[in-house]
Amino acid sequence: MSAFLQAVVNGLMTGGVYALLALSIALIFKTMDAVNFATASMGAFCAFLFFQVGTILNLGWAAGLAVAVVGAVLLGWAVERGIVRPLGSGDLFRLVLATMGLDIVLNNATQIFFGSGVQNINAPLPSGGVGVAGINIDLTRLVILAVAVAGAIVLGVVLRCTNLGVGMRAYAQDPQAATLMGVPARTVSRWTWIISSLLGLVAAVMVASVSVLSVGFLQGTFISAFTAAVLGGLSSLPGAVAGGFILGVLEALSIAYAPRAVTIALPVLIILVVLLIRPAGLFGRLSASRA
Amino acid sequence: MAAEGLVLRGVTGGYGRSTVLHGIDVEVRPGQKVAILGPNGAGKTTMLRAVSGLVAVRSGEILLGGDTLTGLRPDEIVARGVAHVPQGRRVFPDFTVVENLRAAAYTRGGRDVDEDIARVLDAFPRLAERSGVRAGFLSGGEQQMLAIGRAVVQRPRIVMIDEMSLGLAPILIKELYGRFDVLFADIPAVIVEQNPSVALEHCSYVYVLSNGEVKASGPASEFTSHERLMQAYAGAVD
Repeated sequence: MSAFLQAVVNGLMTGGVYALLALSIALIFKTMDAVNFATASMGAFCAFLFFQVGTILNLGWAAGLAVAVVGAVLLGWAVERGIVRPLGSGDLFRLVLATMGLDIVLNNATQIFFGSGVQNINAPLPSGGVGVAGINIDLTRLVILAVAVAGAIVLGVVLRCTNLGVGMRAYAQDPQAATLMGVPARTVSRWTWIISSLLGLVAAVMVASVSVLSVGFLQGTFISAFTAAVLGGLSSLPGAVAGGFILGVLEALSIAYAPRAVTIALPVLIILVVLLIRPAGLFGRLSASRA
Repeated sequence: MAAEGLVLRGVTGGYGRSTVLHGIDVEVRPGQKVAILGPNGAGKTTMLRAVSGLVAVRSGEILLGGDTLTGLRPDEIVARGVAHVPQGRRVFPDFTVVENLRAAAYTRGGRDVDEDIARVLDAFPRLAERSGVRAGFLSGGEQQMLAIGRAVVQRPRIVMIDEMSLGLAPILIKELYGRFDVLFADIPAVIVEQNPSVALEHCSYVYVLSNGEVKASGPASEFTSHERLMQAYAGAVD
């Protein structure tokens, strides 16, 4: 029993990061109808900014954070301005292909700027663990979970309570009707990419804190986050969060009880099962008026 | 020249390579309610979309209060005071009634919206009853009320409404037009209709479009005879 609970707790803690990166994917999909396959490399690039500027240049964490946030905003802005907008609407496949190309470019850029070595991160997070009722809770992972939950809440508040957020949600439902309410398409597109990029930064920094920093270090998490987003319905933000936690727990349970091969194949298996049985995802629903 | 009105001068435009509007001249004076009538495919909806910037204007110009709208982006045109209630209502299905109304205040930062919302819910008690319901679950008539309500919240200088009566029961059409007249009493309006008798009752001036051209225009009283309207549809008079 305690092994089971331990796996669930571990899973929830991993799931937070999946949820955050899944939000980054779902936010873009909701607005642009396209999957951003450069999600991982964008976030990873910004994580390099965070750790390299902070630790390698010895400027401290605050400087690293400032540079990384500015970098993530600029990267999101540049991708929207330089790739998404020129491609225009219409054939979405072009945008998907373009993000695949961007992924390659960014991974190589990361390697050129920051080298191809593997760096261990000494994250400014509490370490050690506490035992609660026979379950070991890793403090680093607990902080990461808290950051992920906070990130999701901030996103929710921005989308619900700001004028821009309301405009973005309106645009996601009906772009043309939103335009007729005075919501500028390019503003929505720009901020969607910037916010998605910031979510990617936070997720990437969290992942690097408990693993290593190297080119492509976020790819595995991306696969899991993409699975989580599909599980949640791809365009549902609450679904992405739930999908992240569900996947995290399933993964942890498979580590505890199943052969290793199952754990590795789990995301792909889940995508397959979801697409076969419930293509709209667990939380995806058909819109009442568009039916 | 009307200082506050809407003027279309020789407007030509369409989708892709096909031209739908062939040099349209239409004028809406301050406070005037103008009906745009015509058969299916006449270009009525395209005309409204050209004003809103959703369809590119290839030649000619569109002026509101003497300022040009031609070449502006749709959101800029909305910000200049054009409210366009599109065909099919196009309410946001996942937003509640109140959220839909709030979204209509986007151009003024979503502020000062409570009074407008109260005004809309006051005019449409049915909407007030269902204010927390997601718009996708409303009936067609309720969605049309909501679409009109969004235009009220936009505080426009001119309102354009496309096929208000489409798919609705006659008694509901009557009610909607009555509310529309009250809510936009002082604001010029362009009313696109396939149902001429309803439009003629509520408008003072009429343009008849066919094949992307203005075939006839004049005071509504001139078009009350069925025969005259049919002639205009066929393009036999001007």
